[in-house]
Amino acid sequence: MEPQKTSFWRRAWRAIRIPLVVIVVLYIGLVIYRIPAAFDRQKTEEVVAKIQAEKLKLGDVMGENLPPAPDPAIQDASVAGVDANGNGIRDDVELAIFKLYPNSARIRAAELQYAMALQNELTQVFNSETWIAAVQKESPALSCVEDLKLDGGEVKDLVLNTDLRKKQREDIFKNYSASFTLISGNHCDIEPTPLPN
Amino acid sequence: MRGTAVYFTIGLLSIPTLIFAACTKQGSTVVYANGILTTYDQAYDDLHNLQRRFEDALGLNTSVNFTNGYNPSHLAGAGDLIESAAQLFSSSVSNYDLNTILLQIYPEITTQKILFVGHSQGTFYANELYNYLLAHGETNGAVGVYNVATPASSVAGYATVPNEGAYLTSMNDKVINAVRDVAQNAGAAQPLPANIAIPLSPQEAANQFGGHSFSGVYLANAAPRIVFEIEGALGKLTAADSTSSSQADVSATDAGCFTPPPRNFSYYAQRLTFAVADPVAGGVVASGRVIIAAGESAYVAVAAATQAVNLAFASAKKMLTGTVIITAQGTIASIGNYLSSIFVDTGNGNPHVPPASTSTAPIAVIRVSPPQAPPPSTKPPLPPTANATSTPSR
Repeated sequence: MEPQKTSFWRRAWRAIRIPLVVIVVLYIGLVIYRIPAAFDRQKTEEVVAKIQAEKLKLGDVMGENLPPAPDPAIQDASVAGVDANGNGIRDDVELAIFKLYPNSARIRAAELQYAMALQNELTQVFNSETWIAAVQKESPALSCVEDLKLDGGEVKDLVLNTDLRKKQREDIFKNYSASFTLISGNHCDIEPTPLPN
Repeated sequence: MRGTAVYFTIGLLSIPTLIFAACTKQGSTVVYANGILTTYDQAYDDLHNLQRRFEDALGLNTSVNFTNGYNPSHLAGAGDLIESAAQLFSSSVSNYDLNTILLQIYPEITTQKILFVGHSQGTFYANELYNYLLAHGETNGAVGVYNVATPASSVAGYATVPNEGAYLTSMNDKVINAVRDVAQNAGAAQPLPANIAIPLSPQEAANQFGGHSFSGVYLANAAPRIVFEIEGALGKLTAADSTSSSQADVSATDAGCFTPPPRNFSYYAQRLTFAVADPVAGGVVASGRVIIAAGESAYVAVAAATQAVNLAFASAKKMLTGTVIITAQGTIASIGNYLSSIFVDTGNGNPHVPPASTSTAPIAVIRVSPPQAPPPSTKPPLPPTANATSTPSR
């Protein structure tokens, strides 16, 4: 009886070992092929977390960290432009908002937040997950501006001030748009009421 | 040892990948399905504006999620027209977009109670999404539909012409009024009757598609009513086992709130087709527009030529803009030709001078074989400008 059982399993093994080896090799190949995607996944998670955590700071609203005026030859030469103080808002846009509203911290706070969200869309998006994270920040930022009875078009014109940037936004929306859920809750990173003006 | 390794490997490869998505009985989700020829930016703006109006009226309500079910344009818009024409006959050319919307919203929806808000062609999808969800996991009463500017003859979930609160269509909506003519001529079911009169601004009155925009017309002029009716529709939704006192209320065995369609060969084949055809169609339309623009410049230079030359050029221009050739026959062909006569306007009241093309959006034209003259249209005259008022529905 025993020799028959052993013989059966040996026969079974002989039958499946080659297909099994093929499957294992393919699986290993798939794992290797997916390594870049795994890194991409990690990068996506990092960028999504960064976008979600990014908030406007009071110091930026009050002008404590204003950047120098960027070199005009450089500021519009690329999509990202210049952000010397590293606050996520392009320097020319930041300075323009301060020039437009030197006496209203509330309007500056709302418009700077919106400008930051639009800049994220231009510079941080490289797939649908990052696109979703970026537009989920854009909607409350726009609502923060609209709460002040402004329409956001002014900030959009400042941020999308070159054909290069407009095309970048178009391409991003075309390539990465997906279904998403808008975030409910407070609109403004910095509550406008306590601000002095 | 070797045997152990083999069995371990087989076991490892056999482990299925399980995806659990929460589906809570708390809260609700509004899924917005956009209309025909809507860009991503416009769909995003529409959703943002809808949520905004909701918040303005009802405060920051964290129990209602707003999600978009983006309805993409295909074949430079011609695909949308074909699909709309088919949907007018309660049919469908392709289920690709419906399945894409379902697959996209599936991970976003975490509430049992779902209200689909459709606009324009999106109302067909809202109705189809409703039917799909009820057939694939959702409980009756947990899903609803509210349609705006609808060319559909019904609202899903209503056995007869719905009462107030299920849809909103303006009697000054030029697109829907055009669809009424098409439906009448083609023997298709009529769109639901208008139940509001939103006056047209001068820009909307001058616009061939005036009175139809979700954000620019309906939300801008009738937001209180829309919000009120959406809120009412949400209030009617009931999740399964709503008497449960469990705070978690999450079905741990559900894989999401409904069963999504499979990503099978047919789906990927259509996806690949559109991935190739959409940019090509867009490029052809763009090339056609370059030809048109060059032709228009030449035409202006010879504008004093005879009427015969003008008419010949107008015909050639219309043929150049027919970039999508459909070999449909019969009723679908008639609808496509009639719609193309709506969407490619070479007349500006002066038969001798075709207007210069100013729109940058791709023009979708369906050219059918053989070309037929569109039936005469008898659009109802626009009422005089007045405040938006409600008219009782039948």
